[in-house]
Amino acid sequence: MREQLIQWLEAHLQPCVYKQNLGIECLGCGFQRSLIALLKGNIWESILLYPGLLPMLVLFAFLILHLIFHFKKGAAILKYIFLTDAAIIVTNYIIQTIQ
Amino acid sequence: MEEKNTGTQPNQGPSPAEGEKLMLPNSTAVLVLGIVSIVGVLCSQGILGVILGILGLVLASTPMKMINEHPERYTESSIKNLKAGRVCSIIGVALGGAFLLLAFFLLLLGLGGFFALLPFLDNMNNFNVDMITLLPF
Repeated sequence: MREQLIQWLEAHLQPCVYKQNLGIECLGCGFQRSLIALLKGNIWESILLYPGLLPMLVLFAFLILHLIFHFKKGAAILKYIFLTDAAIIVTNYIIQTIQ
Repeated sequence: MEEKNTGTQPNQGPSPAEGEKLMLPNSTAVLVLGIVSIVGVLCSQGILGVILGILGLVLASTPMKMINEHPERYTESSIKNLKAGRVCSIIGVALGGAFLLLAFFLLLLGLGGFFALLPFLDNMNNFNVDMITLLPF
């Protein structure tokens, strides 16, 4: 099942429109490779490829839990995870672009 | 059991008694939209993020007015959800919009090479023609 999913994902990688036409990477570049690496179990490789992915998965998992269980400080925690994730994505993008 | 109803006024909707507070409309939807708007950064080149974020902001506008008028009437959790969702929507719109602007700017500059705008300065005769070729973007 997992191997099939990985194979399907690797066969259907979407090229980045911006990278093809403008020569710059977009904010999401690396996300698909990172997801595939994560599915293969290479967490560190996934973080190196796209550091924003893991916090984003945590964010969505927590969002679903919050919608079910209505945590008392759930909204604030979600907000801070979101802000951290956005900061990680932007920082990673700037570093990648400068290099 | 009647709680103290000090804050009630006639013709002003439900009383703010404890335990009878209302959920704000759209609060959960705004939270979900705001958080999902960060996915728009990953795929769809930022456009999805802008759309979802703006949708979240539009949905949040009416409940925000309701909070400003009667903050005591709604449950604490729904107010928190709404405000967090609004912040996330704003960030989603900002991220997507900033990148779209950057891409648009680069698109203008990058037509036929990065410094395609410079020939305009050299030969002003072709200025109008070149501007027309730029316009479709």
